Amino acid sequence: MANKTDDERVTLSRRELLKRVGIVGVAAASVPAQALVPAAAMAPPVETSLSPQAVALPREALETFTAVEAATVEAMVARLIPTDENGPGAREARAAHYIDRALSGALASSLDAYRSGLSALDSYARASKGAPFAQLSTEEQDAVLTDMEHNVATGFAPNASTFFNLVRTHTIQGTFSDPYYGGNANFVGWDLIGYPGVRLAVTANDQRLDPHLIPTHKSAYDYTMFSKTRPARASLEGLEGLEGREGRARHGD
Amino acid sequence: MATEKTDVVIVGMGAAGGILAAELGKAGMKVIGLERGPRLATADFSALDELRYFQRQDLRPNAKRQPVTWRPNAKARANPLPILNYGNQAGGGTVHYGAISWRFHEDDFRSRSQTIERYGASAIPKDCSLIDWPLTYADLEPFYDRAEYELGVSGRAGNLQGRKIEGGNPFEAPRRREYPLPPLMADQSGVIFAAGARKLGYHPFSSPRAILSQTYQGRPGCTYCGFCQAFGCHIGAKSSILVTKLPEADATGNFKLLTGTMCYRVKSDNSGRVTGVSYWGSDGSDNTIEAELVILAPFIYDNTRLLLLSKTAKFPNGLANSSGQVGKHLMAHIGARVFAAFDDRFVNIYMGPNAQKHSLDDCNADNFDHSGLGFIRGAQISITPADLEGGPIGAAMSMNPPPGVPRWGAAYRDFLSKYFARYAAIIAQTDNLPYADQTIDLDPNVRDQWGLPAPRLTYDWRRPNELARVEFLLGKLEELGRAMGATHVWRSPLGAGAPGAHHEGGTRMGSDPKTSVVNRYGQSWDIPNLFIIGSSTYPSMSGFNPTLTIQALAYMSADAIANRYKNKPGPLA
Ligand SMILES: Cc1cc2nc3c(=O)[nH]c(=O)nc-3n(C[C@H](O)[C@H](O)[C@H](O)COP(=O)(O)OP(=O)(O)OC[C@H]3O[C@@H](n4cnc5c(N)ncnc54)[C@H](O)[C@@H]3O)c2cc1C
Repeated sequence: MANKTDDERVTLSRRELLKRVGIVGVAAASVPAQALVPAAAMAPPVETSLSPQAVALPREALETFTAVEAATVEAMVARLIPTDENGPGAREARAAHYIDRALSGALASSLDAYRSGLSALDSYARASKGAPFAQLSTEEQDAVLTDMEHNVATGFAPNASTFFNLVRTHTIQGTFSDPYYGGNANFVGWDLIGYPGVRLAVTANDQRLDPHLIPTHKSAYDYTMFSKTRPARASLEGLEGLEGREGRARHGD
Repeated sequence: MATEKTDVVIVGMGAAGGILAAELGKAGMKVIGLERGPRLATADFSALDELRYFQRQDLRPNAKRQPVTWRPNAKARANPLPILNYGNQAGGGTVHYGAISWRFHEDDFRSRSQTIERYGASAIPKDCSLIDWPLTYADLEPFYDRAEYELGVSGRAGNLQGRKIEGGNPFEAPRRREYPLPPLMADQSGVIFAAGARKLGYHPFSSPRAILSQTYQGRPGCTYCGFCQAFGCHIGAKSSILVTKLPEADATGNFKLLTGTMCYRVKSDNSGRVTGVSYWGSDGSDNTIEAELVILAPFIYDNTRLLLLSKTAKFPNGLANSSGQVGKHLMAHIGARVFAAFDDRFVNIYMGPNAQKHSLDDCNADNFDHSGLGFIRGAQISITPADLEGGPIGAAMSMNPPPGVPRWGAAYRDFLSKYFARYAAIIAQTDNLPYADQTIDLDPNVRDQWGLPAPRLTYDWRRPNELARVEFLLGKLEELGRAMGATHVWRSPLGAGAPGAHHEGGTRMGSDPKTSVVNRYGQSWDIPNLFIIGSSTYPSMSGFNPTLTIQALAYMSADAIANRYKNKPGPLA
């Protein structure tokens, strides 16, 4: 299999992506896509002059977080799936916006975990690095996140790795879910990984080896048959009869 | 507070319940079906939304409000399982299942005898409770055939009445005729899997599935959108009970479906018969159905739970439990898995439904010589996405990066962006053995939204036979990945003992009332007007997914009830 064209395609599309989100520079254009695996052969991460604050992205009105919490979450997701000359990340996908919105809706049961986790994160950042998480350098932020992932960061309830994994999961959701939910803005997450998007039908031609599929850039809810405003019975969540039975007397012993 | 009378009440309108409702209705019996969830329609399914159906489990039981707990052993405290793998609506699990539809092998029904004949009794682990089924493959074949044709299953025969057919599964048991529909088209992963497998001397084939490859019975063929497993089909091409047997049951004029109803007790009298069931309506009302025949088909947890909850002075250990076997011999599949990633080609595993992918059967059942291997039984091997379907969230969440690549940061992002369209997973679904101390009982600490004790699973698959099998298979999967030409092949970590997919056992069938709960028809040995249908009756499992066998058994039981029991109620075996 000739792989040259494939790699070119990937590199090109990454540059294209960076242009679309407005962060491609002269230097970036000359850096080839980094070879990934095997890891032993992997070069140390290329340092980028691009600081997280360099690019002003539009910020949505907050729905759940305080401004301080939002800044911490923004900083955290931007390290989990970062932005550099190889491509955009969770920041451009607006993963933090996805989380902010979902915590007032489908993920409301995680709100307390966020509130206490973010405050614990800032306390730990202050104690170990001398400043709140959002104000640390990216290297310091990565060191704090590594401590959380390995569960050596202290002050978290129940523990740091649980909160780390929660935010990681939601960052992935906010980067790669249907844009309907407020993340994956401009399909940046799907384009990043070469996912050509949802489609109602995949043809035999699409399924041939090495197809060059054109991204649909459509949300599921852009297809008129999948309106989100259809009656609630389309969803099992919130159905009557599932709620409000807590504390019922024991039966059937 | 309502009381109704009927001939038959069926609890649970899923894979098994829907078939019984249609067949008994056709036989002229008045049937009431109880289903705790709603009855949705094809137009209700907004496919293509991975977050909603896959991550947030929109169609599945709510793990917090309808908990099933698990602990690895009797000393540990049980915690709720995070994801529940069964139905929660009319049509049950078949609404959102992957629809892979296997017939079990001939030796899956007699793996105890098969093992003893070939390797001697000592090959079976001492603590293993393996027994033969009280029926053979040949007994079930007519009902497999009906299920395939009435529901609509696509595939290619590998063994037509003993004649091996190129392109099908050469290890399959003989079938009377071809599948009703040709296989789905082969996707890229199928092409490279088949080529790699053949290099190693294996016999790959397109997996059979209850998904229409072309128009059938007025339903359209699959469009390969790829939002299938965990999703409801938005065009009705998946042969779920919702679009096949429930309309058939409606058409009999003898069937009434009560949705939003939670059965909490099976009622019995002092004569030793069951008299009906009690249930809560969606408005919280407490109701009774009086029935000549009670059929339980609410999946394995509530089969055991309802029997235990329904104890009386006459049945102090729960209904149908004079043997003491209720709740024992829990089994589940474990998925041993490797990833294969290609630097030189795309795989695009996200395209098409998971069920479209290819399989091989060479390492399953007793299809290979186990002498000296230290374990019995095998696994079905398939190519698959990282998770049930191939969407990007599932891939990111379920694909552990290869050794040396972190789970986050720039290198992780680069890994995903390079390999999302260039990887495949290869999975071995194992035929784990039954053990009496793998159980379902009532959790003394956790209650569900109705205030009922949660079903509690005590289970740890990491037994010597199972560990040896998994290690053997992981080696085979790595070989396959390399034979497929993958640039990188790496293992996925194994779980911490919890049961994987497809739970079986709890009310096993047998030939001896002292060591089993029901006979081959799912009829209680103790209470002849009580039937228990589903994978809870399996005495052993198989490396294959269970549902077509659940459905064949439901047809067989319906046939025995309609043609024998109805005229002469009493023990059928
Ligand atoms: C994501 C997923 C993918 C799967 N893919 C496959 C596959 O590819 N191939 C395969 O063979 N199998 C597959 N399965 C498994 C398959 O769904 C089950 O084997 C099958 O549905 C079980 O049939 P059943 O009739 O016993 O239970 P179900 O189909 O689950 O039906 C039981 C019904 O009873 C209802 N119920 C439960 N308790 C009560 C109560 N107390 N009162 C009233 N109603 C009640 C439930 O709401 C449910 O609708 C999959 C499962 C899942 C979750």
